[in-house]
Amino acid sequence: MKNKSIKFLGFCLLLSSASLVVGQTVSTPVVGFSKESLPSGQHFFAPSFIKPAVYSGTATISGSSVTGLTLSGSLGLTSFSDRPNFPTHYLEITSGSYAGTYYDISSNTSNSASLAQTPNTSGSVTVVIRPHVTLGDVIKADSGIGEYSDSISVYDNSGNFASYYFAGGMVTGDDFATPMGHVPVPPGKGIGINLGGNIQITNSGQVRNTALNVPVYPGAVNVVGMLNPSGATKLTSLTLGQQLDAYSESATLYDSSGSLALVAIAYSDGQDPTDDTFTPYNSTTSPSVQTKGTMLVNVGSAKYITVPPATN
Amino acid sequence: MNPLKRITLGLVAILGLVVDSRASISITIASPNTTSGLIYQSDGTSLNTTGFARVGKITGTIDFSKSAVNWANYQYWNNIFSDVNGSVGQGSTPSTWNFNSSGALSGSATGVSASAFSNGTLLYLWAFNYGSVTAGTYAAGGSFPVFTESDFTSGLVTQWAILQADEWTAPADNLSKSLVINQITPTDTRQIIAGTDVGTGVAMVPEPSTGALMMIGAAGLVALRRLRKV
Repeated sequence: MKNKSIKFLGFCLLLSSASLVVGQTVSTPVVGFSKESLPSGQHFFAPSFIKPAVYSGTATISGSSVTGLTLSGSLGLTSFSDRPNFPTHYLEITSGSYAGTYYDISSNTSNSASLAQTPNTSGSVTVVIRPHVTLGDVIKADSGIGEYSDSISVYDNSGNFASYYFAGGMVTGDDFATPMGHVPVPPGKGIGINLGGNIQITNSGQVRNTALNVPVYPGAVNVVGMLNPSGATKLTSLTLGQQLDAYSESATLYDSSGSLALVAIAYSDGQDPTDDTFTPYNSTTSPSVQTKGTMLVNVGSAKYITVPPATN
Repeated sequence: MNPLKRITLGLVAILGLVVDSRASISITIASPNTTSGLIYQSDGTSLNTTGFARVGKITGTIDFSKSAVNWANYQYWNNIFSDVNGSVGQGSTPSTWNFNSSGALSGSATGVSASAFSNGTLLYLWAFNYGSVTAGTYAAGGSFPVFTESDFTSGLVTQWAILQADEWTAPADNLSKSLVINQITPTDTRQIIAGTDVGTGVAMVPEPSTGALMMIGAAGLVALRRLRKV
């Protein structure tokens, strides 16, 4: 890493100490925070921390409905009348073959939730429900972001993106007035940032200790972030080779100097990630997604890219 | 892998990257507040809501001598000016580039072709004292020039400003850029191609006849003061 310095200040140690509580193994999440300097210029950036769960346990999925939960308060969309509303929480499946797949919550009662998408699985599973990380969590006034001038891009699933700015000490829409700090940054997804000067992003939260399935879509700007807040991720440590269609779909890696200089375009031979001559990478030759960095994934059909956990 | 197969697979991969060519950018313009980054009429009064702006790139060498407001110069600039939305359908969402009652300019163009406005392309603001564009009336793919010769000869378009700042460059694919009026360097004639810095913003240049009358008036006042001194 050349121009992007990261100071990972704390895996402040509620570390994975396993203890027996009433006959049940309880694993305490790893938490920490980081300060990352982004130089002036253009970046794709993904927060790697997650927020504490508001529910963790078993549930029954039927279509887009989930029952058997114990919830309090509203976990659905925000309910502003003067600005667009967005999901506030997501449900992630943590058991079975769909573990690591997540869905936005549209609405909920005290014991059930409706999902914005229909999972491909049904029946009894274990799940976790967490609040989304938002633009307001990522970009704060003390980051040094330039008011009115610096911009943030958030990408949808169909190739469009919305632009947000910072004015009056908050994230706003392109009118520089409407508060938009509640826009979610979905797990494993990145945002675009265009900076006139250097900023420092301070993030904190829990570190994921399980793999994540990040949804990617054809024609969309799929910015896929890594989960490791303190180290680079080699492409060969991903299952990218099996998940990208051979010889057509790709993952593009950029540097973090602010110039978005191309580091590598990786393809797949159906098994391993390859370079642009379709020579498979090995652990020595593999390029890395830089610390808290991202890759741009170009796919011909909707699918998931599995990102490994930060801690194993 | 034999070379022929690699070439074939390479072509397949290139075709697979067609999706990337759909990349777009977004351009927003900002006057940060009601007391700075404003566009004024040439006499320093507020432009109010009557005004019109174009944002785009200039292709070719700029002839700085053509800053005066007239139909011939309009045609010159219009020929080298490509709007981020409009003439070649770059913008999927048309901008509203609107002035408020203070002369603050705002608006966004989204879906702007990243290939037409590649990363680093200098962007310019061309503001007029005539025309009032509201959302929906300035459709993407709309034709330019938006003004005709009669708009000039009948005295409707009488002032304009042509501005640029070093920071006003098109972003990389799939990113946004905010053009902040305050980023213009007042002393840089390369940036204020037509206009006058007035501290809290930029005043448009008047049409030559008006400018000439103002100069004659100023000269008259100076002469009168001298006569009175004598």
